[in-house]
Amino acid sequence: MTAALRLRGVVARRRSGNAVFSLDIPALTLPEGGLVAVTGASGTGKSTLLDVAALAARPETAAVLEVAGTDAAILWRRGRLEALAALRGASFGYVLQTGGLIPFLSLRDNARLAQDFSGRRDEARITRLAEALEIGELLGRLPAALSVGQRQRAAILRALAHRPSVVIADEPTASVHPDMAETILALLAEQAREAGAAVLLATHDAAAAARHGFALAPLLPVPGEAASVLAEPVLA
Amino acid sequence: MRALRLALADLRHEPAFTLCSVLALAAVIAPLILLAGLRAGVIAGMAEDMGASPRAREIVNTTNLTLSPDWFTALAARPEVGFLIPRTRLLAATGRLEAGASPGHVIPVEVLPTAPGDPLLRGVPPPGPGQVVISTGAAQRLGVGPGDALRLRVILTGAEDIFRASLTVAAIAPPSASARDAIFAEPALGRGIQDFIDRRAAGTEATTAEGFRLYARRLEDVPVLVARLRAENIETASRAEDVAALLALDRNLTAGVAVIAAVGGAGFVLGLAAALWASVERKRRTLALLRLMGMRRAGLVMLPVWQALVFALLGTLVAAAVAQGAASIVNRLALLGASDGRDLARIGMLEVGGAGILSMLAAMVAAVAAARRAAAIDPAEGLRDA
Repeated sequence: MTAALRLRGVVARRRSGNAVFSLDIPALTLPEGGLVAVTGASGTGKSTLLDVAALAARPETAAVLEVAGTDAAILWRRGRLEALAALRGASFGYVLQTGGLIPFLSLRDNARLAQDFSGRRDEARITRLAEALEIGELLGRLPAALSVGQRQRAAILRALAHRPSVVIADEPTASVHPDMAETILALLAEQAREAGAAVLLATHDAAAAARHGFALAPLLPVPGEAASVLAEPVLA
Repeated sequence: MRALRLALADLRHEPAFTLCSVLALAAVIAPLILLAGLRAGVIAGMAEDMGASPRAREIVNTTNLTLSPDWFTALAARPEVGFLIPRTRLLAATGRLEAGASPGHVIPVEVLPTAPGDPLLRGVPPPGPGQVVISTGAAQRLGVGPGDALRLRVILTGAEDIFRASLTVAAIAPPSASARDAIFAEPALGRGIQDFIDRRAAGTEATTAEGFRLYARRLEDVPVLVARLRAENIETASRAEDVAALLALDRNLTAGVAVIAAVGGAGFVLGLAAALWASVERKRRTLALLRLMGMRRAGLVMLPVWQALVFALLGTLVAAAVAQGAASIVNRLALLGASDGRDLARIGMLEVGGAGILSMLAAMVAAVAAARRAAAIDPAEGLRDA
């Protein structure tokens, strides 16, 4: 069975000024529909990990970097930026801290855009998914006209509209009320399961992630160095 | 087309920014369109003054010449020549004309050679043998109209001999054709009169001509032909200097408009470039999200380009409306001197279309910096929260 996302022997570096932060990912595999939460305090490299996993930043080295059976490591090595963009469009959905919706498009058009980039148009799916997320009435609205909670639901809609293999979720509950946070995480896990999409979640709240069935992969700082190592995901 | 759709959606989402950009461009374009319209109006007005009558394109010799048929063939073949016909010695072909119906009332007329295509006789059928086209003044003085009979006589002082010809009025010439009393006839009539005056026996007509009636094809051809004839030592009378002055004025006004357009255009490009660059900078996160979602770099680059083109198009339309309004005020108030009912500012398709094309080109130049900025956007920025 092909994994939704597979990383092995990946090293990512982030430079800021003269300081270099190094992230070591010995092995991270998300099976189809698998839920994995990367946890750690801020500064342990959650963003760097998501950048590399989401094919948004070039890894320093990558023995394996594979998305739904496609070798992304070789695309990076060859500098095939457009092929990487196409792969992102086809295989990934994104839920970001404050939604990450396109501000000048309605919710429906945001979802349509994701379907456009992947070449999988399906109006009925948008309507159905919006109903399930309880934002069916809001499809014609612009993101700015929504509450923070509604915006996160809309982001889940946009992330799953085109049936991606992997949803990248970066602290999707950090800016909502704790009660709302539980609901958002529940909806994300539930709808991803329904769609058969794997979720790679970055969060500082390991307990909440565990409650919703995410396997936990903590980022462990290397003592005395500006570096972290990602541990293997373990179901709590 | 996805880039165009997104570009338009973005513009709709920021109506104030869009309106400001369009108005800023219109403010640059409108005076340029009006200026071009004024140039066109001034030149057209002067050209109408000159060109209304084909006499503006007329070139006549001022001394008698000896010109061979080959000379005429060669000159007629030149592209600048509109109409050319040999003519007799100056003042030779004049006669006394009276109406067949009322003999005794005699007026002196000039006999002018004509042929099909004569610019003085536009819209008038060319006269056949024994027929003449009579000038408006002469027709009124003699009280004749088409179909009436005429008698032409040439009497040599101190001689018994009289040249007589019976003629029919084929048509009346347009009033502009001749200020003097004249009849237009086939060249044979004038030549016959000259031969009679010269006492040349019939059958021994000269094959050379002493002069010509020449009309340039276009107004701007007049100075060219005059210079050419002067090179052959043929002195002519024409409005070549007026024409040259008009052409020089046209060149100078066009150059003036071009200089002002270049200065305005530089402002247009810089202003629009800054607005587009700032807009891309403001929307970095959104553009990065689009890139993250899989948009190609080419699509990202096209966003500011499409927006620039939309601004230029709308700006031109607004500017054309404003300039048209200003032009009608200028024309109604006759702001720059009396215009005897003619429009001083004329804004046509050329002015508006030219402004549209130039502003689209300028808009694309203006979009280059913003497009480069958009091309360099990192998809990872889409993952960051602003």
